[in-house]
Amino acid sequence: MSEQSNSNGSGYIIECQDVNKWFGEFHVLKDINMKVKEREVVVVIGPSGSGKSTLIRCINRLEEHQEGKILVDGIELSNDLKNINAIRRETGMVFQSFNLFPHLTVMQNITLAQRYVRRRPRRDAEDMARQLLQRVGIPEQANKYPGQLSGGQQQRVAIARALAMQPKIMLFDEPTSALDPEMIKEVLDVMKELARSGMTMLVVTHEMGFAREVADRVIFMDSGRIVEIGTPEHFFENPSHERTKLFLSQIL
Amino acid sequence: MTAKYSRTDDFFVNTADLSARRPPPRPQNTAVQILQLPAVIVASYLVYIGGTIFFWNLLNDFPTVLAILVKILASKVGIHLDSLDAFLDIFIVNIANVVEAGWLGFLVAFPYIIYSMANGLLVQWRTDIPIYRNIVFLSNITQSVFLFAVIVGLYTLMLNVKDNTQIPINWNVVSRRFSVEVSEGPDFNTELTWLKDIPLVGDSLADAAILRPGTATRALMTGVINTLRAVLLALVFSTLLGIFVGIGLLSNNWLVRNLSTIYVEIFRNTPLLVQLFFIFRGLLGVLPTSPRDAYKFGDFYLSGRGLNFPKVLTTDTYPYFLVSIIIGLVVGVFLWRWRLKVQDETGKPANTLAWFSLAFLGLGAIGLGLAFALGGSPFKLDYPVLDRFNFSGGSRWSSGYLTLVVGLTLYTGAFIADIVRAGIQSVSYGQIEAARAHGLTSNQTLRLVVLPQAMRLIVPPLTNQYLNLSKNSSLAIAIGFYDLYNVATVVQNQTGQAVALFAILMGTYLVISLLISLLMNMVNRSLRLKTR
Amino acid sequence: MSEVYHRPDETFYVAPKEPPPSRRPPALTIGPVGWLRKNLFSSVSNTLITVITVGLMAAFFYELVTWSVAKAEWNVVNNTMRLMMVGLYPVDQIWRIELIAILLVFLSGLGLGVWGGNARGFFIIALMIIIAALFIPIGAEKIEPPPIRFLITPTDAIGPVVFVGDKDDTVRLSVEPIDDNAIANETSPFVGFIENSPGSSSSRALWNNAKAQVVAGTLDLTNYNLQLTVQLLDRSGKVLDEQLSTPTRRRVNFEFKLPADGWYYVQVLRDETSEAIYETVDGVQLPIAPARTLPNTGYAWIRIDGVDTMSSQVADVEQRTKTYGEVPAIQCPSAAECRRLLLEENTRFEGARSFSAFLKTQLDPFLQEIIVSLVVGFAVMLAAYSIGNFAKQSRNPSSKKAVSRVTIIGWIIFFPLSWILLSGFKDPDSVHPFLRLPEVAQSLWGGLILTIVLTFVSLTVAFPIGILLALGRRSKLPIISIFCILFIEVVRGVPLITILFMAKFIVPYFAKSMSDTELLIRLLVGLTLFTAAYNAEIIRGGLQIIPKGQIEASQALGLNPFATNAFIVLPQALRAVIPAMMSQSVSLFKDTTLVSIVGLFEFLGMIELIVNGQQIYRPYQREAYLFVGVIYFIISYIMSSLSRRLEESGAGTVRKMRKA
Repeated sequence: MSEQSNSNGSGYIIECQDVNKWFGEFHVLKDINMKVKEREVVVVIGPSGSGKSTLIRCINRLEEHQEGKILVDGIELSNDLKNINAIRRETGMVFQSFNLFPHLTVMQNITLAQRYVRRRPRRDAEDMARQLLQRVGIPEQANKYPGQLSGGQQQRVAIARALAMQPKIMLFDEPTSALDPEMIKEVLDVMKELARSGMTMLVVTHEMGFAREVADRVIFMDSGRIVEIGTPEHFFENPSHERTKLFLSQIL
Repeated sequence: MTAKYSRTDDFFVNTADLSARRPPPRPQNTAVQILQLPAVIVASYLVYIGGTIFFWNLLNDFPTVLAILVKILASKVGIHLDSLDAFLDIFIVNIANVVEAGWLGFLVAFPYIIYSMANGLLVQWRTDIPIYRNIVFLSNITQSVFLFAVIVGLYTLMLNVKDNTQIPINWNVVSRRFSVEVSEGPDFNTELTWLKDIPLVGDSLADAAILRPGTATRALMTGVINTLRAVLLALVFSTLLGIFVGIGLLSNNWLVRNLSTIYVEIFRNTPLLVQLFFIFRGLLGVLPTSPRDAYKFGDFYLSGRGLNFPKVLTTDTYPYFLVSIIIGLVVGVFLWRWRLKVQDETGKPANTLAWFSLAFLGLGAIGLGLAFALGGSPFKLDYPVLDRFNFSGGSRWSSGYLTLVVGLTLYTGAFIADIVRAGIQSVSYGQIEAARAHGLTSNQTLRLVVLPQAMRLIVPPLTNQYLNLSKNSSLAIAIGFYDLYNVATVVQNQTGQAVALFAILMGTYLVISLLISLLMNMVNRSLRLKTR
Repeated sequence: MSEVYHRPDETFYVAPKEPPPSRRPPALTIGPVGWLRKNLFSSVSNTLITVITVGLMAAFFYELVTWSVAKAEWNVVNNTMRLMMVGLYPVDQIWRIELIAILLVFLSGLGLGVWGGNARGFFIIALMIIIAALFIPIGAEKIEPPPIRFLITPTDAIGPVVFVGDKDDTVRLSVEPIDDNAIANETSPFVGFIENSPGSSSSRALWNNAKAQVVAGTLDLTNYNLQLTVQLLDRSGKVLDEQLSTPTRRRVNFEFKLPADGWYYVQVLRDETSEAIYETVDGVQLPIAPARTLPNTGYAWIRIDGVDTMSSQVADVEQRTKTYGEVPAIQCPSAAECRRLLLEENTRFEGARSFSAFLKTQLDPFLQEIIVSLVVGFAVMLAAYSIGNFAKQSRNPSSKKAVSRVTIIGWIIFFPLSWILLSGFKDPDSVHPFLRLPEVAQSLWGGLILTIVLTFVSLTVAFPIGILLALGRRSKLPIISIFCILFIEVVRGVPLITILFMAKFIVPYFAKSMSDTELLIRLLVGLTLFTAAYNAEIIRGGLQIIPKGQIEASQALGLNPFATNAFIVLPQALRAVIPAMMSQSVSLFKDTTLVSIVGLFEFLGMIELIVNGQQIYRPYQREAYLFVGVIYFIISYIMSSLSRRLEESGAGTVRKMRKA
């Protein structure tokens, strides 16, 4: 349901071309070139400070890149208000710290953006919300407040909230890093189901198991540069770059 | 510099140097871009000036023309505006001011508007982003419109004020002579002879018109000094009282604790003005006003006029005493540091305070003895002596001054007490337990563990209370004490220059507030926890 | 198995089957003794502090209580109650203010019921106060009225004393001679109401004169020979009873019984001719030879008991006229000897008042004035609280929602409604007959109601302005944020009084059409801007604690900045700063006193006017300011307790997200 259809026929739904970003003097993204196809699941891994979160946040304009071009579904990310809004409608984001609105119930959290951005009537929005809650496995929590839910449940609500906008792409910024080990599984299960259903996903995570199981490609970033892009099999069994080898030896 | 793809677009290994960095692109800020478009700026001004000149007559007649148009249109519709002529007169005067302010607003905001439009258009030409959707353009235009509105608003008000005040605004009010009795503080009708002693600028300062005796500036200076006298004293006392009561709020003596709470609740919940009136009219006001009937405590006389007490004057032998005190101070500081070193190296208790006091007081006593030996006491007291109607000699704190200091102390002290309590309570009990477990005494725990941490929480709200205290001192006008605000009001009554005086008044208070904030910020910064 | 457990110092040990019974702690550590030991006497220094503090406090409270009861003159409060509460509002329109007060109490009760916690304690205390306030006047009725005194000197007699009385009341009159000791005494020898006709013929002036003469030695009080005729007259001047006092240096008492309800005079005549007097010689009373007769002279107190001092309150005067008729005209024996007791202004309490006199003459009138409003207010608040509480606890969530909606709407329309009620319409006839409220000029508003109006209007109008300023201060657009920062810092850096003065003098210059603005409006503008700046800082604090992630999440969802602020940021921020806002409101309530300096007569200003403007009340500054202080204290204390309760119930924190 996007306003602007994919204008170039290359089939890539996210494209980054020579993207560079600075925070003041600090060069945080260096010459990023990457492409994501539709229905693809791409996992971005790397040590902290490597710029993975920044990259993902640049894609839906939570951060501004200074050089280079980012195209989402053929729409270029620029100072054009219309483009920014369109891109934000196409992408859904799930944050590390959930960022649910604590003063609204779960139902209200999910329906808020639907009603005010997509202009859906309340009934339809609530129906969609119930469907999504069912999908993520917690339909009985609809009228509770986020503070009453466990961390895993909150993150699943966050996923449902993002899905309610029916985006084409889902961006995940370390979705399980703030969860207790018991709850990581339930969130990962939802993400796996999402991947299986054909959603384009760009996931920044430390969960290597997830990457191995579900990813189509793995991007390894370090110090702001993309070091290696490969398939999970290749990446985990037989990495090419020295830096990749070093990193994997430290975490596996 | 593009990265090298070693395989397809989908998979790749980066063989370039991973650590190289590039400097950021040139900052895209406003100032630089304005400099980038000087031609646009110059052109815009030419257009503006040219247009103004060309249409000058039209602009001048614009308000009248507008009024006539409105009248004609209204009469066509059937409304007769003759009765509204008076209204329109006022309206027209104000419209003229609005228009004039509008031109000023344009003058200032025009370049910014032109720059935003030019930038937006350039971007549109280059990259297809329509100007009305360009978020950079939108934010620039919002700011420039806001700037325009603010300038128009403020300037219109200023022009209206200028039109409507009967007495023309004259900023020379500060050098006009005027006469009023300000019964305390430094006399502003005398020459400031010490000005000449200032090197370099002394002579020109001494001749300055605004510093001559009897001018409004001198009166205002007297007012400032009065304010500072009250504020500084009240600051010190209220802090002491606040600390004392704050500790009392946490005492394990039920009586002390509850009495402190009662004190804090009463003085926080009643308005300061009521307290001042009660003290001034109810307590000091019922004292006999005639000096003859004043209450006598030794050489202190308390009457309805105030507190008369002996003034301390210095004699010829004072310098000896002063020098020995200073030497005592210096020696004391050295002893302090030496004792700390001794404690570091040998572990013996430092007793810094004892040694410091020994040095200071000892040398002071020597100095005193020296002074006596050489010619008598270094101080002499000027006792207040009862004349027929009044006291002569001695110094006097007027009842207004007493009221202000006592009232401010009690009022602010209550707030400070609560702040101190909150600060001390914020130190988690585990800290105290750990300290006691290590064998530190109660006193040491308080001094070394609790207070340093509590201070961090206490200082910011304490700053706030100090600022409030300095602002509350302006209530002196209600009790007749000639602080800055009262003097300014008096000057304004005499000279009618409300605008100028209020500007000076508000400026002075802002400066005082700023000084207090800066000082307390320095204290705050020195208390900051060092984190990673 | 009785020896199962060994002594505890052995290496191996098995406990008995049953644990030993619990014992109570040692007697000296529990109960009131234990409490005392722990709290007051736990250590030497503590004991010392306790002793000193108790001593100081006892002395202080003793002084305070004896002053309030025995010496303070609280009539300044009783007589001027209406002025203090509503200022110069026209008397016949006061019902409008009463209506506003009832609405306010009702809405407060509703709010308390719906959102407040358990307010039972508050109502119980209020109920106890009201019961006390009801019983004291009843008890006071039974108390004997305090005596009234006049001074008789050789040259001054008293004229008729007018009073009202009921059938079978007993009026006692006594003549108390004064001797050297009494007059030379420093302290006031008399207790009771002293008639205080103005000028040199007042009892106090005569007393001071005599005292001065005795001290100077020019007056000898041993010549005592007062022969007085005491008469009781009815309102037409007919003598009902007459008694004679003989010259003795001891007190002489007379009693009169009133035959019916109505006005009466008591008249004391000096008999100019003197009869022979007696002197005691060797225990035998002998008449003194006419050559040695002394003139009818002496100093004595005439004391009248059983007569109420009369109130000068309008309502009481009306009641009195209705019951007993108009004040009769006085016939004086001669113009110079005519001093009459009529109005309460003519009497002043001297000396140390007894507690019963305090109850009857000070507390009783005060309570009678306020008891009706207390009872009505309490009933209304209780009713509203019950409604609110009932709705809160009912199972039906929509009823709770309905009641809280009604409350909020009630509060919102309360402010403009009360403004309209207070000010009325300029042209009453043009409005619907039901709403025909004549206009009351704002210059007539005053007293406590004006304080409340100032507080509420400033708070309400400053609220949105404060939000805008706080958001503007955090804006990324530098010009807007600089403007907001400048405005906030300048307004916060100058004293409120300068802003009010500016508002009063400079605002009219802003536009010629504004030069006729009412002072109230001008000061409201100043007060509102001041409050808005302080509110902005408080709201900024609330905005700062909202995690940045919230805003990012709403941006990621595509919400525009306006929606983000309205639905996400502001609800959380405002909820977080409620306690701080409440304490700011208390501050504002106290700061409204400053408008009295610029000429608006709110509560404190009204007191100032009364106590400084009217000569008669000028000596009573302490009582007036104490009363003012107590009222302000009560209201502020209630408001800050409310905010403390709110804070404790968790309203003041951003709703925490439970971490996994």
